[in-house]
Amino acid sequence: MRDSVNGNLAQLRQIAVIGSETMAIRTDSDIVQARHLVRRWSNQIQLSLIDQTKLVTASSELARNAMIYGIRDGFTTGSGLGLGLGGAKRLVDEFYIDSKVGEGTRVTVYKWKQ
Amino acid sequence: MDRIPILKLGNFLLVTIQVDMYDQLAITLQDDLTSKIVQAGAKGVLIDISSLEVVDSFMGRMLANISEMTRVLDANTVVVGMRPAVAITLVELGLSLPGVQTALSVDKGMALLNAMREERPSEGLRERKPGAA
Repeated sequence: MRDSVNGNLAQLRQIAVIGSETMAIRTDSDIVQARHLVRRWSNQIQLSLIDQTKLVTASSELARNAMIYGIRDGFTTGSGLGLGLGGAKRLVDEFYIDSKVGEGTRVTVYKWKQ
Repeated sequence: MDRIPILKLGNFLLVTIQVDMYDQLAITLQDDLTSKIVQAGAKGVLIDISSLEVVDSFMGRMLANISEMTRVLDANTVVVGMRPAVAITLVELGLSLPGVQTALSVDKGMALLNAMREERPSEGLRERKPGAA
């Protein structure tokens, strides 16, 4: 299911996938690592400094959300520890959320290079 | 456990954040700062975030909390050195930190703390807003 959604999006937009990386988010130091990972990739594709900062910050929000709640459906701000998904959404160009009962939730964000 | 050092400089406390902030570190800093303000009788806190490449909503809220707590403890906080990209991102994130005083550099932050101190003598009962009943 996941691959088919990814495949469709890629086909639709003709995205050139230059690489991928996966990491688990369990602790708050994983959030730091997630920021580093996204920073490294944003740097590699030469996003502008401001867009890098926005994307890294959005990733930080998403990673924290994943750590604290598991990603929840909808735009909860939870216990007020973060701006949650809504904050991340404001920092990217496109934001998709896809929940399946019993499977989990996937959030996909896009930041287009200017 | 990791800790961010808090330096005492006259009546003020100086905090320079030079490491990647993870959530527990920010919470520890908040706790340490409040105790240190009381213990040292500090009248101002200067937080230098010029090394921070990212301030997310958690860290932003922590800065807002620290500002609020120091105010309740009869001191002021000034956050200095925020990078332009961080400022833009924070505002777009929806976090404009209304209660947080900022300055561009440590020098300007120190001047601001001194000015705020003169405006706000510590003797007598004060209201949070001058003139408020």
